[in-house]
Amino acid sequence: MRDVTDDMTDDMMVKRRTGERMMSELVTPESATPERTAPRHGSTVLDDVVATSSGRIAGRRDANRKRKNGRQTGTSQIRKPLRTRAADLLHTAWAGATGRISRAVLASLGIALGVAAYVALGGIAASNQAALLARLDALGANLSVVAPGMDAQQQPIPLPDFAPQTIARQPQVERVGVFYTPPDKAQIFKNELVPKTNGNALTMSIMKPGALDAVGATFTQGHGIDARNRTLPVAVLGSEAAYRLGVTTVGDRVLVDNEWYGVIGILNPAPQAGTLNSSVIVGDEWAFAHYPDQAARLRQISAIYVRTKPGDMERIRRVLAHAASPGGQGVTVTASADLSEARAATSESLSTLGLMIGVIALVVGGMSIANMMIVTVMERRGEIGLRRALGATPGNIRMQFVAEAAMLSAIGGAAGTLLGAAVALGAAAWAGQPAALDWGGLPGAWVAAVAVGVVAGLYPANRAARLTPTEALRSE
Amino acid sequence: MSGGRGGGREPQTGADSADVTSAVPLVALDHATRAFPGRDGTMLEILHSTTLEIGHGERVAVVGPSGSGKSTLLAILGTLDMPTTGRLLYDGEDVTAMNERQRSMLRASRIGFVFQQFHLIATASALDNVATGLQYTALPRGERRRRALRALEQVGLGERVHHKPSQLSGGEQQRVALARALVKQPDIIFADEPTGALDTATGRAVIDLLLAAAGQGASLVVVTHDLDVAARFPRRLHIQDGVVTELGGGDGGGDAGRAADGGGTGANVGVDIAGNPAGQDGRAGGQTGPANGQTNGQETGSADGQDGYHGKEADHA
Repeated sequence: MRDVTDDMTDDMMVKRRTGERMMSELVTPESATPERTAPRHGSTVLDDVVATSSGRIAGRRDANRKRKNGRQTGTSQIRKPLRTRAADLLHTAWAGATGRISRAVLASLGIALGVAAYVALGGIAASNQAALLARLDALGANLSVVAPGMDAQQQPIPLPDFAPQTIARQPQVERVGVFYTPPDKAQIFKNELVPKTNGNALTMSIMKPGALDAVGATFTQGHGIDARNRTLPVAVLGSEAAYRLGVTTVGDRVLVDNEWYGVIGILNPAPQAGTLNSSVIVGDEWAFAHYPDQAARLRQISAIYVRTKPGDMERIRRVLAHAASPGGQGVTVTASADLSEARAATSESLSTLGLMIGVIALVVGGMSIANMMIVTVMERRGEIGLRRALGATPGNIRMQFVAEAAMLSAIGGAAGTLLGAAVALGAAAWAGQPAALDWGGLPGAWVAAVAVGVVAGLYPANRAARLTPTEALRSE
Repeated sequence: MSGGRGGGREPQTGADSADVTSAVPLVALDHATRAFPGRDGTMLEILHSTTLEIGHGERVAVVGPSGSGKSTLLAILGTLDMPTTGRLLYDGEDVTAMNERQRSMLRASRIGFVFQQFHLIATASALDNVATGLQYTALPRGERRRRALRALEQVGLGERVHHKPSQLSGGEQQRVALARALVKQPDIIFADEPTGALDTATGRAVIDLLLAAAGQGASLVVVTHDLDVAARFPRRLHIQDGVVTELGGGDGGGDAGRAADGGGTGANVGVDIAGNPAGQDGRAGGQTGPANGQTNGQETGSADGQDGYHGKEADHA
């Protein structure tokens, strides 16, 4: 060891003596320190390398064997090729992918747009769907009507008084609205000047407070019958009733059976409960008191509107019938089954469309990455040759380019996910729809993008790996 | 500590030359040829059957006209290319019998390359470029960078570690490439026209660095068409039309202390195809240096191989 150092120093001195100024400038004596020269002996280089890598037992064993057997084993010290380390792979891939920024941006733009299309369309579809479902539900997709059945003589079988309470106890039920039987032939006019012979096909309805909420009816003006005004001569007009009576503002009054009623609310059209449109709706307590001769009849329930959770309508129908009347006898339960089916179909077709468009866009994006990687591999043949000369195996080269393609698509995928989410939320806000985004699906979209990148990188990477070192080095 | 391989140093320290000459050379070509398929489908032999040995710590220049097969010879010696027939041996072990992964490991741990075009990665800093030289070894990343920094300091670029290749002059770029080859402390360095893209003074500095690196124990094989460069090497090979001949020891023109006797006859090159014009050798040798008159390239036989080592020993005496 010592003579080596001495040798080196002598070497340097010789050079200086011979006036090689350049040399002495470039290679200072410090560069030939014992530290540097110490591990210089042939295989010590390798021992050094091996010893520094913790846990590579096989390599160390080879080195030991080498020591024992001496020169004869020669290249037995050539260890098994190392697995590419993840950190190196990421670093190299990052450097490669971002080396030519504009091209990397263009290539990953394809993936970004693909993912953005997928996420945005999925989000817009989800928003549309949420909006559509909200409308369908407003129309009564989950609204059932429980009404008295008819006996053999076509006479209604009265519902038990406890029916609203037992129905409300069912787990599927969200709201219950109760309407009572109206008095016979109520005469409804704008005022006393209208001839009594004029018909207007308007009817009277009697409601318990909260019934309009269960129906889902909304007000253009005013409010409904509540616990305080159910005993008073006040009325809520259906949209058609208000039109025919010429009532445009709350505070006006109408004449029903020679009794003035103050108008406290006017309804929007309620397609889910058509009879309400042409109705003048009054409170139950007032009606029972005002028609004492018909009180027993009026107290019979004419219809119970039941707002349920979405679910199997057939089952809900059976549950409601049994809840309304023991054994489910003497009860008619109607539900908007068509709307319920439409609801289920809608949600599926929109999701499928979003997925299909997204997949097509991703495939196109993957092709643009593959295209760019092929060009990259051709351009970087010199680097490939260099890396082979530095000891990279074909597998190392393949991994490098696959990782680079994956890196490109990971960046593009992340950008596309954000862009798509922004577009979806923006579109929902613009269209006034509820913002519905499948947050849980976003990582999935990104992973799909990376997977597309890996697949897209395989072919170019294999081409790179198949290059022989001399071919690759010759190209420049 | 690896007494066997350490023997490679012994000629330099003058310890036991007899042991050295009987030792297995670092690199050996055994009747190696290289042929490529020509346009008409026949095989075109670029390198005719060649047998030669390169010892531990030996410094060799390969000269010859363009298209003579210099780069092919270098690629084969450097395990980048495999001979069509014949064998390549490292420490007596047959590299041609290895698989691609084993050869890659051999290059990763023991062989350094310097190219005419530098082959630096344009987007990486000088430090990262040099650290790439260790990427395919077992060293952890931090250690690789530490050694890369040391190697850059060694070639005098300690102040420019974070510069990109485009921010460096040609000479500096080649020194980065040199640091990349040196950072793994290779057993042998192959340089293919390392000064080809540089002006004379810069090229000279690069050769100085290469020779200094070899002085630390690494063997060195430099392909060059520059006879002034070749003259600084104790052993020179001439290649023409795929035939390798030995030119004998250089006079060490700018390197007077090294090859005082120019005694390296270097006749350990076997050329199967006889008839290589001696005059050719003589002319080339004559140009390279006044002290060189021994051009016995046509001699075959390994007995003379000792001379090569003696010559080298003399260099360091």
